[in-house]
Amino acid sequence: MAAQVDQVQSQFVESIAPGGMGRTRSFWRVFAEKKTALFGLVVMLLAIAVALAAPLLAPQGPTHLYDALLSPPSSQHPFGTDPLGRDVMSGIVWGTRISLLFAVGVAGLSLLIGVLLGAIPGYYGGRVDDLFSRFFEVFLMIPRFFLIILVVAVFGQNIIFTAIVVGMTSWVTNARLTRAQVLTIKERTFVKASMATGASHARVLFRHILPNGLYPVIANSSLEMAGAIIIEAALSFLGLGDSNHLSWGQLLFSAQLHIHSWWLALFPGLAITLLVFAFNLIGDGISYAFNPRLRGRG
Amino acid sequence: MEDRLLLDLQKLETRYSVGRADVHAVRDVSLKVHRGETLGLVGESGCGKSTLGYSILRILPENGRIVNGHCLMEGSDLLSLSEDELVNYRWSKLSMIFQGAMNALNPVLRVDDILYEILRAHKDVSRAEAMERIKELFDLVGLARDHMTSYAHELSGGMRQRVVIAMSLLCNPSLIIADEPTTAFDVVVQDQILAALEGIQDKLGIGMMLITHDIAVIAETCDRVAVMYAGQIVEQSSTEAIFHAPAHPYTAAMLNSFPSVRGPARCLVSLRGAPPDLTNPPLGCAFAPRCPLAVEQCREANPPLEDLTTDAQHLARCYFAGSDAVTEAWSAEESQTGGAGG
Amino acid sequence: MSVGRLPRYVVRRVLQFVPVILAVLIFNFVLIKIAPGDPALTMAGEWATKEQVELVRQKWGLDQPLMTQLLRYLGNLLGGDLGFSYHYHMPVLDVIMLRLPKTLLLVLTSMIMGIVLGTLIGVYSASRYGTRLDLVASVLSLAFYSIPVFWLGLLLIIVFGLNLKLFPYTGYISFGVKGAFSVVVDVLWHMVMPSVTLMACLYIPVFLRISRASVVEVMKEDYITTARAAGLGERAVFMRHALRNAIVPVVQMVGIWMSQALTGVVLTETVFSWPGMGTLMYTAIIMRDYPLLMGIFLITAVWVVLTFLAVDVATAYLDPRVTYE
Repeated sequence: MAAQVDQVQSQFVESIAPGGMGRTRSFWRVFAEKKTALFGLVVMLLAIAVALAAPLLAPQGPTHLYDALLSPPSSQHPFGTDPLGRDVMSGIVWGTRISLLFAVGVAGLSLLIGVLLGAIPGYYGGRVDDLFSRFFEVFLMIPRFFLIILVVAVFGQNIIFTAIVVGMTSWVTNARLTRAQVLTIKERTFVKASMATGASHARVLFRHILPNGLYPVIANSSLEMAGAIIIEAALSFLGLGDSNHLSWGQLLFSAQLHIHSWWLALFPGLAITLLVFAFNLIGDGISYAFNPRLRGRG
Repeated sequence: MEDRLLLDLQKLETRYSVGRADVHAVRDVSLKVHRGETLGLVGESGCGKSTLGYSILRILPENGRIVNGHCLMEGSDLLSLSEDELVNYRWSKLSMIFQGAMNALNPVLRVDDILYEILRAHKDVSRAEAMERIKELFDLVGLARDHMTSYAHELSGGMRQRVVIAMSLLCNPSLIIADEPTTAFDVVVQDQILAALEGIQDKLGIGMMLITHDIAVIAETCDRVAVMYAGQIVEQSSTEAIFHAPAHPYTAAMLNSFPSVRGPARCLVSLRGAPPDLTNPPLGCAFAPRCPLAVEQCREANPPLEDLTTDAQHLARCYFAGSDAVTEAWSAEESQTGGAGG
Repeated sequence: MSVGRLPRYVVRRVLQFVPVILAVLIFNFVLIKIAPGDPALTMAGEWATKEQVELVRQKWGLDQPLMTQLLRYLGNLLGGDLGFSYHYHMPVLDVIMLRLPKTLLLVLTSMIMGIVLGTLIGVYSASRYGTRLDLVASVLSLAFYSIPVFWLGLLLIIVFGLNLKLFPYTGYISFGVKGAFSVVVDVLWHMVMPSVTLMACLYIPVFLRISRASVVEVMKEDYITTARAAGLGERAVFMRHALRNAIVPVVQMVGIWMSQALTGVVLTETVFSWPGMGTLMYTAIIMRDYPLLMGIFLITAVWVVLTFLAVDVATAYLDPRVTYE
């Protein structure tokens, strides 16, 4: 009986709720209008392709030691080699995996925590909202980079651990965005309708409010992925990276010590810049597609 | 009558560029407004009435442009003046009351500062003189003087709207275009706003073009009415004539869709269909698809605006204009659909 | 009307911030105490005997219960004593005071220039919204923002420092420079590269984008159309009405970046060996110099709170809608 009531409820609400296939299609259409966003998307897909095809592109692996030590770019080694004899290009190809996984991990964790912690004050409002908002404010005041460096340095330089720490310190923006969205969407008619038909709080929240309010969070997540890649590179650059995983940041770390070998610094940095740029463009494109006010000339 | 003519709008055509297409928002509209009279411009959402107002004041958004037409006021054609020349007209001769005053006032400035700045832009006045004038206007629209130092968000919607009305009067214009001044408000506030508008008309003898979709407001405040549909004027006459003897089927439908509090109970008319897509304006009458009287001729050629009297007192754009068929068109509809209520 | 509310608002905010600082203090105290490793051992050094380690532990009170340590620490704070740095063998406050001005010099100069330049270009770009220039400015600023700060620093060092030998790229002052004027010039010369790096990757792009976006949003508001209709010239509309409203988000952004001024530039400082708070923080972490770490954390938290407060006050002043929260 409960299942049937559920079904009727959802059917009724769907019929007056916005969204669905039509919106997704029009979203892509507007997104594609912005050439820069498309460029970002292409680069991201390229990066994913490189990461997946790593065994094909650099079959020896990133840590294979060649005879040519610290040699500039040549036909053998298009991006040169480092002081240990590792091929920089292989390092970059395999490093793509680390960058992408790290980025997704951080953004994913941030999204999970942020959406949950943002939905609660948005939905319940009142005292709960005050409490949570105050908590967000305090959390924002903690010097983030300092904390990350501290925790990583003191508790261990493991890349998964690092990803968790970074994710756990960056959820506040997502929380605020979610809160704002939930506050507004909660007042819309189709939500009130679903509440009137007796749907539980969880159902209203997860089935009706959140699916309609997640766009800004998704846009923000793309930007966070960009930020995560830079943070990982920064940490490695400071010597706090995970030496078991040769990331782009690690390549830059060794570049500092051999500053006259310009190729050690140039290529990994270019890779970072390009992928970060791509994620930033995608994030921009999503918020552009989602926010009609930013669009067009009038 | 001609010496009291304030505004003579002739054959206005305005378009918006949306994507690759053009929306013909206003198609061939001609209107006259006289000193001391209120002309109501009524029509449903999207028929082009606000665009008309913005065109006259030349404040269309970036993608809008005036394609054709003349708007004569005090001997000059407003539509062909340069921006510099227009400054002499804007606000000093011709002003506007905006729709939904919620956002028409700058949130970081105090109300008296906003009004003072506008006044100074047109006249060299001292702050004291300006404050006197603002007090005068506040009294006129029924606002307490303490509110002069308030910020927009400190005032209720109705108060904000009255500030906007006061704003429009700052430079003693001869003509005011009021764009849906009562739409955003409940009936109590509507009443206050209409009272304020009537008050200023009585005292100052200004000409007013009142744009609204609410026919009740028209009935209450306007001397003459122009009915707009799909970017064109479909009927124009005195308020009385329109209410007692509508000559266009659309007007008749509009009147019949409002229940009368006092009259006998009857079925209300609801129009089927929707207004045409104005990116491709139809060749024939725009109302034909929804009109019970429509015949072949209606669909082929757009009826011209016909004069039903001899002195342009009552105009209608319909081949059946003025005949009984128009007023009876909807009762035939009613009996067809059956008595769905009672 | 609103002026009277401002002081009350300020007081209210200050009172709200006091527990925050306390919370941060306790938090960082606890965090450092639960870190693995024995601080007494670290301090005494690798070659110390067991007795020597115990001596150190007693001397610094590391054998006392947690609560006692915390209370003693808080008590000292009120007296202006932030503890004693293990690594530098100096009072923590002194160490910080040596480094703090150098960071502030670098960051504030770069930030102010970045804000001014970025905002000017951003506002100009917004006034030419939709044109080629605007689009290019937008994309370029995002591109620069995507460049890792330390990478650009490295590249600049390679090109300008090593190869072209135009600017110094280590430290903030050269050895043996005397005389006030020469010192100032020398420091400025040293500041060029790190400053340019910070401005190019961070401040200019960020402020260009925020000011541009803000102005564009504001220009679409109804009160802008009203002002134009009321006969106000385009210049007056832009300056008095648009900018006045658009400035608020920019101020908030200034606050966010300013609050990160102390420890956020650790990367740039490391690359250019600039002896500031960033490098100090890094050293303290690596060396497990806990008193110093707590001192840095405290000073940073106070700085953050002060900047947030300043931004709140500025926003309340600029936007009359705020005092009513």
